[in-house]
Amino acid sequence: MLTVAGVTGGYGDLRVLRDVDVTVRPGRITVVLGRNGAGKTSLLSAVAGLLPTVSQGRIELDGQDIGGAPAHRRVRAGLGLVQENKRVFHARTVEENLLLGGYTLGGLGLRGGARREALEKAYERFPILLQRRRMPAGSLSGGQQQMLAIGQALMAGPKLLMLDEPSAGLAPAIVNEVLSMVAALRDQEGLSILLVEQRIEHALEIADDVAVMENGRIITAGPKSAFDDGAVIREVYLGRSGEELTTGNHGKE
Amino acid sequence: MTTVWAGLATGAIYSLVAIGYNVVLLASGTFNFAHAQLLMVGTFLAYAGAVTFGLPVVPTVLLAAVGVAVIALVEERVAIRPLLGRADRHGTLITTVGAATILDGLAAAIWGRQPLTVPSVLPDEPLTLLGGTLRPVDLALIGLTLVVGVGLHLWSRHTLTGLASLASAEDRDAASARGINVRLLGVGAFAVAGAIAGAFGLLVGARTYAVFDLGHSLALFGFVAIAIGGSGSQLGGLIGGFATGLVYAFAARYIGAAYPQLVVFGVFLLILFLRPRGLFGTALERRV
Repeated sequence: MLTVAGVTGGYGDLRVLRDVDVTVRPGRITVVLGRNGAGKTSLLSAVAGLLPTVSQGRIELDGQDIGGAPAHRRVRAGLGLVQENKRVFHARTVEENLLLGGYTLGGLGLRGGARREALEKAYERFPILLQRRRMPAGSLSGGQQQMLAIGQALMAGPKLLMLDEPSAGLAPAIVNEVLSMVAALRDQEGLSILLVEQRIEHALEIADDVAVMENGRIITAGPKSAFDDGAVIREVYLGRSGEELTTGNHGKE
Repeated sequence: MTTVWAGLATGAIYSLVAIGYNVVLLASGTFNFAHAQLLMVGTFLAYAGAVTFGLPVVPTVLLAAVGVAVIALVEERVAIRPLLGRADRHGTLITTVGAATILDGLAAAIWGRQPLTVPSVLPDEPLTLLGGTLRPVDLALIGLTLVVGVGLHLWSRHTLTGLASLASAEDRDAASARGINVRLLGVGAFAVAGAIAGAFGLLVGARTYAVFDLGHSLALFGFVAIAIGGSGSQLGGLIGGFATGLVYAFAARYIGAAYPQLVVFGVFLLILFLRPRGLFGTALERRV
């Protein structure tokens, strides 16, 4: 579904991604873990076409090379992105946010054609958004804003959904709700998902594959079963260096 | 009431400047300091169409609209686009001021420094309306400015492209991630703002003459209109422009011809102190 191969890039001369390889299998969830500043958000930005510089590497979605396409074309190719910090349009209403999520859908008029159907589906999925549809998005609670951000990204009917720390800043009960919803998108709708998440235990519960980043590199990756003992994760988060890890059993080949 | 009409007619021109600022600001996130100069060029192109080439009204309006739209697109290509994608986007403040200076200089070089009379497209016989008198061309200027301002406001709230423009102003990256072509939107905004400025060249020129330094005073009062109405609000810009014109006209009528600018800038400072976002403005916050 998604293949990121040898991607190097960053912000001008500052390289934040170095030779990164990540894959997401069809209908599966790949979770990207790593400490703050490891390059996880930059990886999603690179895939979405929002990283200023990608100097080398290949990005393919469903066999289609999207590496050179601008961000808006990647959305049309089937990429959905839920950015970190519940990044919705705060000054616009809930319904306007959802309609903007369906910007690439056909149909005449603001609420016409496929956009109307997608809007109805979004309200079915998140009934609270229907109740709040005329309210400015900035006035919603954190959990509701996250639902709106996910609903907005789903409006265009993506093949691959990327989520950047969807649980950040949410109460524990809401975290479970949000991550269960992510799992349901895979299980019930067959969506492929690339998930960046700081809450490791929650993320591993729904993961099919795992990639661990450090200093802009993938230091280890594989099916979730390879991470079941938790040793690698503990080592990454509690301080052993990535270089040591690359020489171990879980190292990137 | 004649003072009111005079204030509204002058204010309509300030509203047009404010509307132009907002069209570009909303869609591209750039404040185009050269927009008042685009309005100035519109008056010259209207003069060229009506007087130099002797064209009828509609071809003259089209010539000015297309001509100024093309100039606005050139400005976008030369003064804005090279700076897009840079971390510090404040460079466009300098380059658009540079574009304004170049347009002033070009206008002076092509048409000279003396004011040129742009013929009125309507009869000069004054009308009496609600107890005051005004020229038909001023009434047309007020009415059409209202139509354009309200039309743009409705467009931005009730069409997908309009909403995309507002979303792009709020967060360009998030708009791109929704599939919105923010660059095309920005280019389109320059073209639309330029076309509107050009299309009004005949009406504006009939009130102000075509003169190379017209942009200076229009730019200043356009800022006041934005400060009163609030940046990012088309209705705010419209109302701010009319309010500025009314304050100017009443100050000139009741305080003295030497004082209206002082009074207008007093109001400007007061608004900045009391409500920096203006009466209808929304904060155009950006995430970094």
